[in-house]
This record gives sequence, C-alpha cells and structure tokens, in this order.
Amino acid sequence: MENKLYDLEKLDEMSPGNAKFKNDMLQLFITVSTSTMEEIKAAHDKMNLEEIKRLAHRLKPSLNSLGITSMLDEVKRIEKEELSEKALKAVIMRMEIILEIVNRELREVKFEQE
Amino acid sequence: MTDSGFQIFIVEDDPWYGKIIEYHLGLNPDYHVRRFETGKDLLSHLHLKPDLITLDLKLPDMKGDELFLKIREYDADIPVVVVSSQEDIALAVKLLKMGINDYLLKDDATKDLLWNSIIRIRENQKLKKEVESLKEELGKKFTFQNTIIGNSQALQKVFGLIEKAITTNINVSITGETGTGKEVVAKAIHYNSKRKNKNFVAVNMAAIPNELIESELFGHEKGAFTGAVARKTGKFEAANGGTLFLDEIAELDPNNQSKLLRVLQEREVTRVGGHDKIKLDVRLVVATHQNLAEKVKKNEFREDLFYRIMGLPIDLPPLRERGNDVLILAKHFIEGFTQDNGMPNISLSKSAKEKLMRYQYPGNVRELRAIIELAIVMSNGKEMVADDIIFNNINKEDVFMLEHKTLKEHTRDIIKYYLKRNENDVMTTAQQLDIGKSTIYKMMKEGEL
Repeated sequence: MENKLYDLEKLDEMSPGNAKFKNDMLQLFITVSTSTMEEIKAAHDKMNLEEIKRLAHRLKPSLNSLGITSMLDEVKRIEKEELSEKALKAVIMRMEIILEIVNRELREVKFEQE
Repeated sequence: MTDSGFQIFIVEDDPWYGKIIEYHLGLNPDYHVRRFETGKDLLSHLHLKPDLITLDLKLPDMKGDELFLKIREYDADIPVVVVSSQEDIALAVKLLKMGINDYLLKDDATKDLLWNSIIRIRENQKLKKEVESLKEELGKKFTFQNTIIGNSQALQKVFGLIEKAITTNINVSITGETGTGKEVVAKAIHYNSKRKNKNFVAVNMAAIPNELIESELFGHEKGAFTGAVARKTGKFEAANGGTLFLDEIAELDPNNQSKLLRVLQEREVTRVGGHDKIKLDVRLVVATHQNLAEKVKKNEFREDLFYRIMGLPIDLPPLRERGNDVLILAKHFIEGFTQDNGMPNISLSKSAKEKLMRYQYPGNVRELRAIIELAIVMSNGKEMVADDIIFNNINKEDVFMLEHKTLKEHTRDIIKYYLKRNENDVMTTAQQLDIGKSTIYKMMKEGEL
C-alpha cells in the first residue's frame, strides 16, 4: 500500500461538488501552515515551549482533515511528550521538511468543477 | 435573534478550521456567521448581540474558560458551544458545570455535531421564550380585572383580603361553595405576588387516593415501594419558591394530615424512601367547601393543622348574594365566548336580565358561565332573550320541578322549599311568592307543610 503524505478524501467529502471551496482551502492551508511553521521556529529560537505547543495544536485540525498523518504524529509528540531540547529540535525539523514536501505537492493539486 | 436570521460568532484562531466551520454553518441561509481570532476581538463585538458563540479553548490572548466567564458577565443568556481539540474530560466537565451549552471535540464529525447542537439550542431557546411569554400571559390573565369580576360589596371585601395576601407570605385558606372561584382566587394571589415567576401547583386532595397522597405531595425515590420505577418530584418540591394550592383540604385523612403538618412545621420535605431533606419556601393556599372548624370539633380534622393552614381566611360569597354581579359576569362571559368563537357581541334583553337575576345559582359562577354559553348558542346571535336561558342545574332541591305532580302538590313543594330557604319565616316566604301569609298558615294547620 502506498504510504501517502496526504489524503484529500475528507476535504472532498466536506464539500462535494464545490471545487472553488476545496481549492481555496488548499491555498489557505499552504499559507497558514507555512506562516505557523515560521512562528514555531521563532518560538523555538526563544525556547518558548508553551507557544510552540499552542501553535502546533492549532495545526491539528487541518493536518487531520488533509490526512497529513506523519506531521500529525509529530504535533502530538510536541503536545504530549516531555521532549529534550535536542528531540524537540529534531521534531520541528522533521515537521518543516514534511510540510515543505506536502505543500509543494498541494500547490499542484487543482480540484475541477464537476 | 435578529429579524434577519440567527447570528453566530465563531472564536477560532486557526483560520483553516474557522473557515471550515464558517463554510459549513453558512450552508444554512438563516445563519449569519462571523469569525474572530482573539478573545479581545470577540469581546469588543458582543454589543452586536450574537445568538450563539462557538469557542476554541486555546486562544492567543486568553484561555477559553476565562473568555467564557467574560461573555457570561456581559450576557448570561448567550449560548456558548466549546469546539476544541483538547480531549480532556475533566476540563469538559468543568466547563459544562460552568454553564457552557455543549463541548465538541474537533474531529471529522464536529461539523455535523455542531450543526445538531445549534438546532437543539435554538429549539431550547424557542421553548424558553414560549414559556416566558406564556408566564407573562398567565400573569396578565390573572390580574384582578380579568379574573374576579364584579362590583358587589361582598366581592369588594374579598378584594381587600386578596390585596393583603399578595403583599405578604401568609398562608391563605379559601372557603366558599362549589363554583365560587376558589382556584381563581388562589391563582390571582400567586400571579400578583412576588412569587409569580415560580410555579403555581394545584392539587385536588379529593382526586387522589389516600395511599398515594404522600408520594404525590412529597415525592419518592426510585425503589421506595413497588412500582416506584423512577424518582418522582413531589408537589411541594415542584412549588418551591412559588405557591402550592391544596384544594378540598378537608378530604385529607388523619394519617396524611399528620404528615402534612410535619412538613409545614419543619419547612422541609423528605421524599418517600429518601434521606435528603429538601428545604422549602412555599406559600400554601388551601381551599374547601366544607366547614373545617366543624370538622375540627368533630375530631375529623387536626386542630393543630387547622391553625397552621388557616392563615388569612377568605370566604367567597355565593353568587346569589352578589346582586348585580350576575349581570356584570353575564356580560363578561358573553364577551369572552363571542370573541373566542369569532361572533359579534350579543346584548342582554330586559327579560333575560330579569330571568338571570331571579335564579339562585347553586353552582355559582361556574354554573352562570355554562348557562350563558348555552344561551348564546340558543340565541338569534344579536340579543339574548329569556327563552334562550335554560337552567339545567342538577341540585336536588329543584328536581321536584321536573316531576309529574298535580298543581296542588307542586304548590305545596314550592312553599316548602321557600320556607326552608327562609328558615321557616312565613312573612318573607309569602312576600317572595306573592301569596297571602294566611295561605301558608292554613296549609300548615292542615298538615300539608
């Protein structure tokens, strides 16, 4: 079975037939997740763990809806585990890489009006 | 709710999720959805009076519970639904106890759950508004002007006593013949008193079997006795803060009299089979058509309970002692009935007035109402005449009029009836029947009476 980085089935089910809404939502995810990732990195620079947790938590619904499970797992680790400084840095780096790949692919996705 | 629809404010700092909720709720054209990213932003827009707020718990500027309290401070009635990713049962319970209307987890089912939650909340709001407006209507309905109609001196005395009952918390005992309006007076006292926003609970003691009275009045716990399949709230508890009206109190058996006395003395009640004592703040109004003092004398009613419940006694005069009130009430009933049935108002002819004034009304106001309603139906729709008025009372004193007898026998029965009513006063009876008193004395002498 192919290990997909994302799954758009839930987004599709959310609004069957409304391609504009789905394309808008993908665009919104790319914008919001990119800026949130930047905010997480800035908070990490200041070692503001509470803020990192809050921002990571904010990403959860969209990661869940777009089936980006690998990144969702990393967010859950930030929320629930007492990570060492080194582990936290590694988790954030992984999130950044996953997001970069996912967003690159999502930019190519275009829902067509049925 | 505004005239233009149902205004929903979403507080959500995640633009992606906010947009999803906004889109989904926006599918209902009646919903006007607006999103805020911070608590402060929401608070500065509360003056727009949203009909419902959905709240995320993790906001950049304040915690969700803190924001919820600020919303409540501003308006205690706006429904608030928390939509959060936090799977924290303790937090959800805490927030529900604080008064949020619902707690939903952000997952795939949220949008549908939120949709249903809003429908439920709107239904509850609608019911709440209906209850409020019904209470208001009830309050209006039971103002003196609308319920206790008449100008007679006997009634003025009653008004004075009701005024006294309204301004205090004193128990009230209402006596009067059947149909004089004992429950109407009890309701007028309740709906014009400070207790009007709490319940008025009426119980007819004569209608409940003795063995059920305790459970009916004081409630019971599940399993208290065979058949007690669920906890039942008693009438005292239901009337807490309001008024409990115990009609036909004289029918209470001695065993239940003792139990009632104890509750009234202690001002608390324990459900049958339970242990918890429930504090009571209940205005008690009792009523009877019997002479309670006589029952006390005959040891049929506890003296201590009699004094405990008597409070302010209000004796309602029978209609036959209220003179012109008969006509005032008749006009009131005509107006009410014609309005309710979309008919034009009907006037009372001279003959109808005279016929109404001559009758004794053993069933009092209740009977007059029934007579008038029937007469309206029988009338030509413009004016009520004497023939439209049919007295159909079932009082045994009048039954003899329906029996087949000779004129002599009827004459004898009529004179006997009037003599009895006038306590054997021959002079008054002769005047009322427009006959010579010698006729009565002669019949007495001949053993006919």
